[in-house]
Amino acid sequence: MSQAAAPAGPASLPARPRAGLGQRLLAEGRRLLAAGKPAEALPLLRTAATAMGEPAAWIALAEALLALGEPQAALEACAGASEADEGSLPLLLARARALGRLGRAREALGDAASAVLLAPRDEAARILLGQALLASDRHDEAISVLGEVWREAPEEAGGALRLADAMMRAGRHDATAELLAFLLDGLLLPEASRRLALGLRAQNALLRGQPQAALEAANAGLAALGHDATLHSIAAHALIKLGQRPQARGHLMQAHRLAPDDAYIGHLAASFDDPAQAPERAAAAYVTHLFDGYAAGFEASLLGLGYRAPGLILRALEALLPGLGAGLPPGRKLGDVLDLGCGTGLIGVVLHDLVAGRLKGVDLSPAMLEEARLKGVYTSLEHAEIDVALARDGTQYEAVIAADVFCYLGALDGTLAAITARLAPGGLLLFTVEASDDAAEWTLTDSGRYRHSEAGLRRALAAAGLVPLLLRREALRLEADAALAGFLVAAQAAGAPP
Amino acid sequence: MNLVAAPFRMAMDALAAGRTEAALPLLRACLDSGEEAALAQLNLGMALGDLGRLAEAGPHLRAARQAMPYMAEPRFRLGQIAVQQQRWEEARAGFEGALAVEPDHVMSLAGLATLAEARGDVEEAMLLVAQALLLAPDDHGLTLMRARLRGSAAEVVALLRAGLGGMEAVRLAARLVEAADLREEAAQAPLEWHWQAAIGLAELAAGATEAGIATLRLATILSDESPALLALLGLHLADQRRHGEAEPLLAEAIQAQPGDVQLRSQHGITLLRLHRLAEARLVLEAAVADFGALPSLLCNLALTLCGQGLQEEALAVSEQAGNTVLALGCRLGIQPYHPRLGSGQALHATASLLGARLPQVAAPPHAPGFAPDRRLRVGFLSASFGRHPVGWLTLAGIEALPREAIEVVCYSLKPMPDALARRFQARADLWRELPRLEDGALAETIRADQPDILVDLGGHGEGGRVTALAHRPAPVQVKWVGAQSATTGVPGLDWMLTDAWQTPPGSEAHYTESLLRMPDGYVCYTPPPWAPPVGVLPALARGHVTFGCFNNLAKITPDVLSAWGAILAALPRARLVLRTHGLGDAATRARFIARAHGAGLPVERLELHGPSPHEALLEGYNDIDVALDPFPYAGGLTACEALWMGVPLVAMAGSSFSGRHAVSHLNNLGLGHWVAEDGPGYVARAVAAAHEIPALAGLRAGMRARMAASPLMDAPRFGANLAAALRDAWRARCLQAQSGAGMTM
Repeated sequence: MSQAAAPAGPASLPARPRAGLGQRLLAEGRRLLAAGKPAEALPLLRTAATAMGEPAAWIALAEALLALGEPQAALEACAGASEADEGSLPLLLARARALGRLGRAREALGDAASAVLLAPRDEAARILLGQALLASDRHDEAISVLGEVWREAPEEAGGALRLADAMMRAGRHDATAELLAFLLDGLLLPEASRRLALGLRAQNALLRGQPQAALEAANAGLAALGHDATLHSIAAHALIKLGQRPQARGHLMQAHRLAPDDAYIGHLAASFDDPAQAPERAAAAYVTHLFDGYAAGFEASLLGLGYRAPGLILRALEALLPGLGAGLPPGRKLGDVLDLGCGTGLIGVVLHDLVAGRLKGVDLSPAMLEEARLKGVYTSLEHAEIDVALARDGTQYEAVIAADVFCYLGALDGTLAAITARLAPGGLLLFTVEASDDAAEWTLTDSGRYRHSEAGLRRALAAAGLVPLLLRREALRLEADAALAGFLVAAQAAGAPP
Repeated sequence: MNLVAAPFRMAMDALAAGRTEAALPLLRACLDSGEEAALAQLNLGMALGDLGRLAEAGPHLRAARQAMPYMAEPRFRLGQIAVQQQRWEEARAGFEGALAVEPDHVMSLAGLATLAEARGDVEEAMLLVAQALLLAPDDHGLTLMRARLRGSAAEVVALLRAGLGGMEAVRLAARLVEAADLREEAAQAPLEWHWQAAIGLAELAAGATEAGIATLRLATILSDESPALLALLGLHLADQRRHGEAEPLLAEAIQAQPGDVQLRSQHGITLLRLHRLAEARLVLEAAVADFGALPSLLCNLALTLCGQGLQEEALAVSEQAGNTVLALGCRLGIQPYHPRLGSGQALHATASLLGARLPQVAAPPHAPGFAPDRRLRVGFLSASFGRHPVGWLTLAGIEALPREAIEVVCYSLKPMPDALARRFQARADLWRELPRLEDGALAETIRADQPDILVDLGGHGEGGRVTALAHRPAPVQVKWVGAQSATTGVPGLDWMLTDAWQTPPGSEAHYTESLLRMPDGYVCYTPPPWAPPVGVLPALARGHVTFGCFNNLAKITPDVLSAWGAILAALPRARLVLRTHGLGDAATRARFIARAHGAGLPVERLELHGPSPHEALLEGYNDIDVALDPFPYAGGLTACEALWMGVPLVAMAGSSFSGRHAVSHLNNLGLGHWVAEDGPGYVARAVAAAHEIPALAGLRAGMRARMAASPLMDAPRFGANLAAALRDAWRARCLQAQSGAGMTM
């Protein structure tokens, strides 16, 4: 509640002009600028510059405007700086940055060169000069300048990354690859630099005409760092080059989801399905985009876990075998269980509480099997092809699981027959496959994976003597905006369960 | 000639020079010596009042009134203090008493006008102001008041152009004057703080937060850091949750304006948000001493005590705050932590008291287009769409709602600029940022969008607006995550979204809402991408078990400490690691150690950590073998984080909603056997776990995969189930409307 006649607030205006006010506005503006709050510094610096005529405020104002992505306004602020400041290092640097952002490479080069002339050891000046040289297609000189900065402090990842970027743009792809390998293998990189380095490596491979290597580099980055808009975007470009448009689409949509404000990715995503717009065409523009648009992209990176098969299979088992349970009091448990294509053991982790008998895993990858072994939930693990493993196994299993395995097989008849032979009477087969709505029983996708139709699955199950108990559409995992459609299938062998 | 005693004159000089504090001992000396005693009483009362020490001021002013019954000033001052203490009847008596002895006392007329205005009696206020202006035609405060009562922009502009009217004129200008006109005035006088401050306030009111803060900062510097501006900037920074920046500004402003109760209260809350609990407590206790037992102060003090883990004291203080909606809402935020009164039944009683004080609005009549199967527009109301427990527990589920069946509207009460917030925005079909509005107006704004279902994600917690749902903004209303610790008691909230673990059959009596049970868990967890990998079981190398609890101190009750004491007593080598904000506060930490010692915990086997960044906090779990969940308020997000980091938790099943979060999460992971039903069971479970080190190692290795495969993280499954649950609630409403069986659930 306010008081009417009681004195409140400053009683009267201070006299003008006030000593030191411009200085205080400038100091506070600079503090906010250094704290990464250019928008909040702006009105202070603008008032100091325009209303107080504080000479040094114009340059700080230009810096704030640059930070806010307004190079034209920054350039105008530079013009407000006093005669006395003309030719000073801060003004040259601010103007060179503004001009560079505006694409006025020749003028930017002039200011950057003057700055280096004025302060030959100033790092910011030399980096600006290097970038201005790059923008003017004077690659060798740029590499020389940035190389010098890097050699003075080789432990600083920023310098090395800039040099790598310069060499890549200069077309020196081998040298770029070498420098990046040195960086990635040798230094303990902060995460932001690591993302940048992996992105550059993938981009370099793409420019080198090695889309497969680019894809691998991008995938390695995604595996190591989780989802990242730029890495997804490079993977999409590589896949387009490899002729795998459906997979490229997934990566592109993922990138778009992670960086919804990125106009370039947004454009690509929107035009992807339009044959008139060839995404290949954009690859060159992407070089610039990669480096400039990076900061915004990596912050938005989020883990998008969504691998559902283990959970789907667990709950199918619970639904089909009422009373199955791990809790207290203990419910009914499963006898022997075979996990085909067990990978790192995700199914085993989910099921082992429910298994009273043996839990055996089979996979082709020794590395995956090692991961599965560390989980300590399998009775045995076998390194083998599925069909080979089935042929030499004599056990009668109560349940056989094949999660995300049949997508590597077209015709299922042989494998299903072999599984039937390994099922105890009334035993269960549970699996997931990618769904096809095609008339054909199965189709091979561009990614080299197979999709199966419902009719095809029903026919193959019947041919193997298995009775489908459950055949339901389910999202198998999240890919970009959409979920990957599949089937969850449970089928039973003939005979009464034990 | 020296008629006035020397100490009194010195005191007057000190007061005139603004050295109020220095005048106090001089005036007290006058009281002792008896020289100018009556005037000294009056001036001492006024000085104490100016210093915000209102409770101390009262007796001196009353003594002065007694000694000088024909003087208006003591009576007026007593009225003024009563205004600050929000004791309206006393205030009125003070002003009227002053006018009885001095009918032309302008300030008292103004005081009565202010009271009339606060009552909403504009006519009476206008009459009083007109009368006062006849006596004091040049008084700017009165002119300003008249402008406010008339809503006259021109009068405010005239005052401000003359540099008059202070902050109140600025506030009024921000409300009444067009933005373009304010800018025009500012361009004419770019160094006048008034215009900048008014522009800043107008920007903030329009939701342009960043610009508003920036402009207020400019105004503050232009005003030479005047306390009124420091206060304004501090309050708005605090409102933006920028407590670290706000705190020094508030502290400095209070030096000059100790009688401003809002500042003092916000300073306490800001210190609380900074986890400087001991200081917060001092500030709030001092404010209660000065301003009396104002409900808002008591509520903030109760929250602070609760944060220190003093559940009994906190609840007692919150009960002193009375039974207003505000006080009961605050109590509902504290009571769930209480060892005994945190039960589902006791919380239901408090919530029902609250509900009885809210409007009872019937559901809006059956609108055309009620069709059970059509696409539904579902609104979510929250101040926490972003990096916040609400965000981590709802994002995946909302993202996974089927677009063809559900249109998502997000009603954001506070912008949050982070990656999680952007994902909410990306999923929302309609994104609305709501300004600060009264409950009725808030409901009106939401109703304009005609949502079919409104889901509240704030409850009675900080920033929550669940009481607005009593005004029935949507035909179907649901409570979900967000201070979802018990029933809300809010009439018009039809459903509580829950699951069979959170609210097993028989819980119905503890809820004013009907229970809308999800088939698995009631939330879907999104893990942070910066979570480090799960390490190997520390006990393998150490040979003994390390327990941990990363919940806040509010959850650590005496019973919890006793249980932990029993566990550590049974395991002489085991250690317990606690990690939470409150332990970074030295005084709070010392108090906690004393409490732990008193409860029989071997403090040499405790390891206490203060706040750490989220990634480091998660990394902290790599040092823990088994987590100990608190009770009766269980870990929610904290339980999810422990599990995601591979750490199983021993939990106790409570009876309230907040007492069963871990029960739900553990059961959804197939780990129901980690839930104990009573204290001895809890201790036994923890001790047994410590003897199963190989089994713990295996469980840990597979925990993350187990969790990823569980319903707790299966977003497509959760999204489909959430859509089905909302559809069920909608069908029930359609059926009810059809049968004409009345509009209440």
